Amino acid sequence: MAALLLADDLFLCSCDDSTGRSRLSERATGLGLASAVIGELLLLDKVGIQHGEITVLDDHPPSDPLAHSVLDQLHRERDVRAVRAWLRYLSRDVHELVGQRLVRSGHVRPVRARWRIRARVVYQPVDVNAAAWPAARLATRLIGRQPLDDHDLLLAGLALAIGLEPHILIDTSVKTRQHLRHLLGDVPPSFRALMAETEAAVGDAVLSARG
Amino acid sequence: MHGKRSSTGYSVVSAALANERLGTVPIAFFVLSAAAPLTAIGGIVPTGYATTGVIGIPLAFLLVGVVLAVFSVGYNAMARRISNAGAFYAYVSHGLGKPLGVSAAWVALLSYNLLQLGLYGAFGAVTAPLLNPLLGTQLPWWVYAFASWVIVTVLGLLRVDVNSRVLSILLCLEATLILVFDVADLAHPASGHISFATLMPDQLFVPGIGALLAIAVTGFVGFEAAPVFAEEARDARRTVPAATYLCLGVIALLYSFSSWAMTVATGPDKIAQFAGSNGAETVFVLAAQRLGPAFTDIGHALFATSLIAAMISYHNSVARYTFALGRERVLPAWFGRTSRSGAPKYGSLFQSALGLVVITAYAILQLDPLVQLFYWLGTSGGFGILVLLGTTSFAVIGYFRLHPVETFWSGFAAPALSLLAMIGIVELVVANFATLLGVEPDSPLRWIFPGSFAVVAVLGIGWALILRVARPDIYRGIGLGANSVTGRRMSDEMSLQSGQFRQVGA
Repeated sequence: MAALLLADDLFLCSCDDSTGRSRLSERATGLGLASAVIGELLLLDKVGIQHGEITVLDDHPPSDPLAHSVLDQLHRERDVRAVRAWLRYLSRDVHELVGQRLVRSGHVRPVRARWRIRARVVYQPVDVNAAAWPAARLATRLIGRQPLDDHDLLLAGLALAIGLEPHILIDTSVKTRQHLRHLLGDVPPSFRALMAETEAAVGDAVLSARG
Repeated sequence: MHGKRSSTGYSVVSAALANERLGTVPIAFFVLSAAAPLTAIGGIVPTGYATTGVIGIPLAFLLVGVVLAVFSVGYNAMARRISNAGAFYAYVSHGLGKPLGVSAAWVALLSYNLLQLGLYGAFGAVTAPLLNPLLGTQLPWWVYAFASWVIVTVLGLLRVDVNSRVLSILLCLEATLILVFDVADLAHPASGHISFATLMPDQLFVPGIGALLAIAVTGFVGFEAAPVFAEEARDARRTVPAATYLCLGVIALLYSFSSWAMTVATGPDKIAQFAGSNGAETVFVLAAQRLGPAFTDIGHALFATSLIAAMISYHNSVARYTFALGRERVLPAWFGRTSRSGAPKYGSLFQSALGLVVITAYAILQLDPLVQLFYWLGTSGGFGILVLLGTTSFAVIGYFRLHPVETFWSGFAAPALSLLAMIGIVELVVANFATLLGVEPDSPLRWIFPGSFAVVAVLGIGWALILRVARPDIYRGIGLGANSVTGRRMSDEMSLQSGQFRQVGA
C-alpha cells in the first residue's frame, strides 16, 4: 500500500468508505483538512508552530503541489501568523483541493451527490479497502500497543480534534482509547499546538451563532 | 517563492476573512429576530397587564431601555477584550473569578431554559383555538405544543438555524404589523380621546413596580446576544456596540409605543380586565374590531412563526452554552460533541428532553399554558437574565480594576451606575414577585421561582470549588469556552488579527 500524505489519510477517515458521504459537518472537515495540510509541512520541518503562531522555517518547495502552494502562501503572507486565521482561510476550499489530489492519485472519483438541493461533488473511494486503510491501520497499531510514527500521531490527533473518534476507533476498548490519549500526551509541542488549535477552531465554529 | 510581503499593502488572507464578516445591520437583525417582537407584544405584554393589574408597562420599557443602554457601555468594553459565545459567564469568570463564572453559567442555563420552555405554553395556547375549528377537532393545547416541540427537536439536531433571510423578512413583517395595529388602536381610542395616562411617571411609583420592571426586562431578553458576534463582526470595536444600541432603541420604542397604544384602545382603566378575558388574543381582538378579520389571520400566522423562531433561538442558545461547558469539561465532555450536521448534539437533546418533560407535566397536572407555563417561566427566566446583567456589570468593574481601561466612563462609571440600578430592580422584583406571578402574597411560588436561581448559583460555586481541588487542569480552562483546549483566549488572536487588518487598511 503506497503511503498517502496526511491530509489524504484524514480525508479518507472523514468520509464513508463506500459512498464517500462525509461523516462530519462541512466546517469541521474543512478545518481538519486545513490543519492536515499544515501538518504535512510540519512533518517536513518546513514550518514551526509556537504560541498559536505559525512560522516558515524553510521555504524550499516540497514535492507535492498542494503543500507547495500552501507553503508559498504562508511565506508570501508571513505577517498573518495566527494558526487560527490560516485554518479558517484554508478551510474554505481545502476539501476540493485534497479531493482533487486523491482523484489524481486514483484513490477517489468525483460523483454528483444525489438527494441534495445544492449540486455538489462527492469524492467516492475507488477501493473500499484502501479507503478504510488509514483508520484500520491506526486501530490495529493502537490495539497492538505499537508505537505510532509522527504521521500517524498527527493523523490520530487531528481526527480526535475534529470529532472523528467514534469512527476511527470502532470496536476498541476504553484501554485502547486511554493508550491513544497517553501517546498524544507525549507528542512534540508543535503537534500538540496544531491539534489544540484545530479542536478550538471546530468548537468555535459550532458556537459561532451564524452556523 | 519569494513573493511580495503583505505589509506592502494587500493581504489575500486578511481580505478573504474580512469579506465573510458581518456589519451592524445584519447583526441587529440576528439579535432582534431572536427577541421576536410579536411574542413580546402579543404574549408577554397583555398577560402582564392581566396578571399584575398595573398599567405602567410602556414607561417601564423606556426606563429599562435606558438602564440597559448604560449597562451596554461596560458590556461592550468587555466584549472588545474577551470574545466568547457564552458572553456572561466568560466575563464573570474573568472579572470576578472562576467560581462565580461557573455559577453565572448555570444561572444562564436555567434562565434560557425557562424562557424556551415557556414558549411551548404560548404556542399551544395560541394555536389550539385557531387550528381546532379549521381541523374540526377538539385537541388540547399540549398536542400543538408537542408538534412545535418536534419541530424544535428536529431542527435543533439538524442544525437548521432558521435561515437568516427568512428571519429578517419575518421580523420586518412582524414590526410592520405591530405598527399597523398601533395606528389602528390610536385612530379608534376607547372613550373618543387618546389617553396618556399609562405614560405618566406616577404610574411607575405604584406597589407593583417590581413586576413591571421584570416584564420589561423579559421583553428585552435577546439584546445581550450582540457580543456573541464580536468574533465575526467587521469591526468588533464599532459594529457590535452600534448593533447593541440599535436593538435597544428599536425594542424600547416599539414595545413602549405598542403597549401604550393597547391601553389607548381599551382605555387605561380597562386594559387589565380586557387582557384578562382575551389572553393572547388581546391584540388580535383589538385589531379585528378596527381592521377586520384579514389582519387578525395574518397576525395569528406571524405570532405562531414568531414563537417558533424564538423557541429555536433559545433552544440553540441553551445547546451552545451546554456545548461550551462540555468543551471546558465543566459539564461532562460528551456535551462537547457534535452531530454529523455540526450541531451541539447532546446539548440539543438535553434541552429537548427538558421540553418533553415540562409539556408532559403541564398536560398531566392540567395547568394553564399561557399564564402558568409561558408567563411564569418566561418572566422568571427574564429575572434570571436580570441577575446575570447585574453580576456582569460587577464583573466589568472587577476586570478593569486589573486591566487598562479605555475610559473612566466605560471601565467604571457606567458599569457602577448599571450595577446600582440592577440591584435596585432585583430588589423591587423580589419584593413584588407575588404581583408579578399574580399569586397570593403568601404563596410559596413567590419564593420558589427566584429562590431556584439562588440554589443553582450556590451549586455552581460549589462545583467550581470541587473542580479547583480535584481537577485543576479543568479549572484553569474555565471561561475560555472552546478555547480552553489551547489555554488562550480568542481575544489574543483577535488583537493579532485586527492588527493585520489595520495594516491592510493603512
